[in-house]
Amino acid sequence: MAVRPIRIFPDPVLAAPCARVTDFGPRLAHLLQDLRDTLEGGPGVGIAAPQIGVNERVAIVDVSRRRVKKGATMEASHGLIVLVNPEITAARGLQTPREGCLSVPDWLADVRRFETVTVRASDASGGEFCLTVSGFEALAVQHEVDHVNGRLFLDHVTNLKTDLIRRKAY
Amino acid sequence: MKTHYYLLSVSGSDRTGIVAAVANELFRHGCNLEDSSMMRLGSEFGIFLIFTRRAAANSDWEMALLERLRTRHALQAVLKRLTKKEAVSRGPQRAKAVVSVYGPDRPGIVARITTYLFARRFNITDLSTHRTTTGLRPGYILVIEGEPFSIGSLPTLRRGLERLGSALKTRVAVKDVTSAKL
Repeated sequence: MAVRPIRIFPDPVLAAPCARVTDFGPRLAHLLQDLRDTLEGGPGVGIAAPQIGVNERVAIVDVSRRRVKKGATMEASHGLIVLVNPEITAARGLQTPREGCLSVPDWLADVRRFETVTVRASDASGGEFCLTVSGFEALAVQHEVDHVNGRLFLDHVTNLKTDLIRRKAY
Repeated sequence: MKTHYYLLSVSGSDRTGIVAAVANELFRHGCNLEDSSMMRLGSEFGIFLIFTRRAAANSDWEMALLERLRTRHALQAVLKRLTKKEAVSRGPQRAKAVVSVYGPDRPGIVARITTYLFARRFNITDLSTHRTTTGLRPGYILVIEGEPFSIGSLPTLRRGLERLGSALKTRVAVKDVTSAKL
């Protein structure tokens, strides 16, 4: 298991919709461990398989890793969420967070996302589940589902003067 | 005395004080600022200003203004007379859309996309391009804001742009961002 290098825009693996996972055996377990190791090795709260060069609908999210300002309250979260073949089945509300991505290191963007989403996915063993998440966790889930659909947060820029911001530091 | 309308476009190396310098030069000549737009690109700064001046028409002060901007402030400037209609006309509010294009950099992306939009009567009102060099190869981000021919034309525009994007090996996304009238 390893920390894998992050694929950087415009790597073509980031632009391709990913293949559904049908084999929930050791190869998937190995991929999930690589995703965990790579996430642990960096500053992000989520990572998808295409970001380490694998064209499969697999992602993990863990917003409990988020650094919060001293005195601020950490939002409730579900800890590590494993998403295999994820699909967003319901969405409501709006939020306009400033979003970044490990694969687009130079840019941040203010994007429009849903405040609450319900995602249907399989876990590492193939068991299906539905999960409703809100706030920052919902943002992370939408971001990672975009990745397995071959999309980046750049899709969601709506105001070019104010939305796309050059990142100064990571 | 008649009110005359003008467009002043100014550019120069970016530094603190350009806006104050231009505003003061216009004030010295009795001009009234109506509208403006500014931008920075690389190390350069640019301003478009629409202003009015109530005076008898003569071109001496126009030459004096441009000369002072050039010699005292090291700014390149062009002055254009406008009609009142040209200065204030905005037209009725139309539908708005944002087109995001991103992928590997290659020659012709802006030309092909903007030509396609022109052919479908999409009026581009703003455009921004960025080149990235952090990946193994250069990437390109193009964001266009504009007015589609009609809001009903967006789905067809979207499908056509997605096909063009595939041909250019680049991702194209189209969003309806028309403001609600409240």
